[in-house]
Amino acid sequence: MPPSAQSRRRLLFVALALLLPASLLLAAASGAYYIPPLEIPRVLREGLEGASVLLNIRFPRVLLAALVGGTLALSGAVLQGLLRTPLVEPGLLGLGAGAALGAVLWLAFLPLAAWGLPLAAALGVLATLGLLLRLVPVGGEQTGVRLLLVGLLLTTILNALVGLLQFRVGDPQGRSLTFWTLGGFGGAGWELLALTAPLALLSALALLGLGRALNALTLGEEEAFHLGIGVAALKRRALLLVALGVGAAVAAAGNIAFVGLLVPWLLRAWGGADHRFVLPAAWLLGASLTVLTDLVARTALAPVELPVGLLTALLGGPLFLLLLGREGWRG
Amino acid sequence: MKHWFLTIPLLLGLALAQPFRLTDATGREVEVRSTERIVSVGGSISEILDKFGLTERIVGRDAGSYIPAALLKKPDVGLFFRLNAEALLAQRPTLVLAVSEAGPPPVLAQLRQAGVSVVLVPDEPTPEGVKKKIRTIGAAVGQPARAEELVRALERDLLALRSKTRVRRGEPLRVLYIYPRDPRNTFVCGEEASGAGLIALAGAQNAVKTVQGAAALRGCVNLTAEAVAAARPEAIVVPFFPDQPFSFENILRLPGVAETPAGRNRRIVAMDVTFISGYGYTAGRAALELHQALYEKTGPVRINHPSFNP
Amino acid sequence: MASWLEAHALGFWRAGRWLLRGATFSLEPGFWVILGPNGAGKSTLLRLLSGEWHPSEGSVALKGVLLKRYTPAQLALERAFLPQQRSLAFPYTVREVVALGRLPHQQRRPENPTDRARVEWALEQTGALPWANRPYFSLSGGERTRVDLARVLAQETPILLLDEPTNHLDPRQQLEILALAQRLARDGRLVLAALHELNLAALFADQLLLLKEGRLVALGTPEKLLQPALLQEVYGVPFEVLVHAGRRLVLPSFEAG
Repeated sequence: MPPSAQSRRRLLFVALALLLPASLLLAAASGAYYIPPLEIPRVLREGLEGASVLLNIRFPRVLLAALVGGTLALSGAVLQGLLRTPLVEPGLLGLGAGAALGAVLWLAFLPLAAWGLPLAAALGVLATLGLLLRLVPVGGEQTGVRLLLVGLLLTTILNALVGLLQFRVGDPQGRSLTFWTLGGFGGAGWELLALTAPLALLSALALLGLGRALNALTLGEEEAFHLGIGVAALKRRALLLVALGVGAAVAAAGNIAFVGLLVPWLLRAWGGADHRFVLPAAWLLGASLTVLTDLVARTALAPVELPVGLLTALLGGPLFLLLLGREGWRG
Repeated sequence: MKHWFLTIPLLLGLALAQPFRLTDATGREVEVRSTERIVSVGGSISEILDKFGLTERIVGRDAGSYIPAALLKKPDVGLFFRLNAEALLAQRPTLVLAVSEAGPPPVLAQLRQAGVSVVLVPDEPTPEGVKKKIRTIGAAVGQPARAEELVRALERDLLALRSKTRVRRGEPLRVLYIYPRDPRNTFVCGEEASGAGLIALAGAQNAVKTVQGAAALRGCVNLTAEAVAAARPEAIVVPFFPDQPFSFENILRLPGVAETPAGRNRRIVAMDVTFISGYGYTAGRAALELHQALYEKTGPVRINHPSFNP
Repeated sequence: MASWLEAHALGFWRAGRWLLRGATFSLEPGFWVILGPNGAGKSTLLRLLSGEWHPSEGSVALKGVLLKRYTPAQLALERAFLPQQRSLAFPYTVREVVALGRLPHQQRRPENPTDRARVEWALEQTGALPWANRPYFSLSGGERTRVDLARVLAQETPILLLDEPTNHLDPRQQLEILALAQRLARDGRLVLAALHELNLAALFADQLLLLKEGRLVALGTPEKLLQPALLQEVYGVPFEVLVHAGRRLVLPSFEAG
């Protein structure tokens, strides 16, 4: 590893590690309920009017955005390494929609048991993964393109099922469909954070350890075996952890697409494809970007709440097209 | 003439057989030949038709009409803005009385082509609008005198209300109108949304106007939790629906509500949706009861429609 | 002292036929070459010996222990495998690809200077050092083969299994690679390569394994095995054996007409 590339990676990592607290601070200082940023410490200390807004609305929301963004970006990076293509991510493969379906089914039959929502969503993700991998055998030519295609079809079908369920059960005009399909942090609070954090953090910590194995997998499944990786066990473990993380994230904030796709791509472009760098960097960058995007979603058209997924699609979609055009359709 | 005494019943009969002519909300001239089979679209329309004694002639109603309760047994022709043409025509109506936003337009055109009289009734959420509504319906069913009776009853209610609001001092109460949709978003309505209009009539002010950027808010939008807190409402008004379970706890859990004076004091007024946003002949009474709930009561209050008690 | 790689009645069934059957042999350090026509089972044999495929019959033992008792991680420290078909999912540089060979040694520790030194050595041995910082995808087929061989070297294992390492290489490169393989074997390793070119095998191999239609037909030195009768039996064409400048050459003879 030539020193310049390695030091660039280190520099990038430090920059990302600094970006996250900076984003958190910026987001914590801004919002529709106006409190001069410099006054915030005093407001909190003296318990002035607005302190409860900060503590109960703004802060948990910022933290949730970071948690969800980090989880989605990391899951995207792992999926890309596991499926050996840069074209995939939880949102576009239909995993977000599967999570939504799992969650909506749970809500339809057990509306009072909100604690089970992340797990129900995770089951939805697993089922969707199972279906996806049955329909598209990994490892042939053009796997990435096929996965993307089938994933988009699955997304459409699953979203329709979610909509249908909502029309039948409890929401005859189906208007909360936008929450599931476009995402949003509007419901953030300490309760939701406490419900989401265990699974999301567990998933993230465990996924971070898969960097070495994913590096080996870059050469293909047979070669990864020859380098000492138990491939079947790796796949099971990785997919299960991704399901837990994505399930928790989507149950909390709906489907937010493009984060899991573009963050790993950017990181590989800047720092190379070593997963031991990409995975933790993805969590950091995903968290920061989502915090900042949510800041825009809740202040740009204040007082209106814009769905976060709308913004990520608006920004991410064209960027994806640009990257495809430039980098070619490899994968 | 030998049989001159026959001309009187003949003339009367001719007079009675005259179709009713009126101008509807869209300025269209409509001829109503028969009120035998009526389809009613709009909760307030159904409510008013009941006061004209015509409930028995209603052969179909939109999904949102449930006053009086007898209507629930009548065929459902869809949501008022998404009517089902086939279900409607299957009832072979002679007259369709609908709120002015009824639709979609192609369905209305199909009805007219089939020879059905379609009267779009003005639906402005103001006292004057209610009077126009009652009078239009009266003209369409040939009972103008009865319409004036209802208008006078409405004016009496409004007078009673005005006497109360005139006496009250201080700033009008800050109220947010929240339409409960999905639990992760607080869907707040501005002045012109029909439910919220009653707030001004009841002597309170719509708190959403004071939120930065929301001054021009017309319809309803999802508000960020912080914006809800920034509106500082002292009370929250919420419509409830007859076929959906309602719980004050759910409202208190909407984003931002817990951080408002209304949320902290549990000042939530839940009103039957037709009562609050129908603007039928009971609009005056609705405003009065809302005023009382806001200014004379404490804690959560539930206001049912006077004609509908499940 | 158990032999390094031992096969016992080894057989593999797939898609309705036996790709390999009844192979029994024992390998010690040295340069071994597997020869045979297409479909004879050369790749199959290599993959059974590497542990990637499980035998349908018989067994493989590495250093006296059955292969299936090893974990993948343990195997990776004993043997390295160079495949025929190669793929790379992400745009690594040449050096990064070769560094992947060090992964089995990094199970419990991050990259260290020893790893980097082995990578440089492997690049040097295969002549890939000039391209070390270039993207792998920018290389030609032959260059990629050398980089992959460097990766296999970097893995630093006593056993090397090479499936057609001379594909895509021009004559000079072929000689260089096989000379390298021979050197590695002389240093005490067991190098087992599947090759197409009979004469290159004759030049470099210590011992040959001749396969035909899934059967191990003969095992022995090039002198013993490269005989016209045996070759005709295996390849189905007559061969002529020539001796030129002390070297043994076999040529398939072709009757025109």
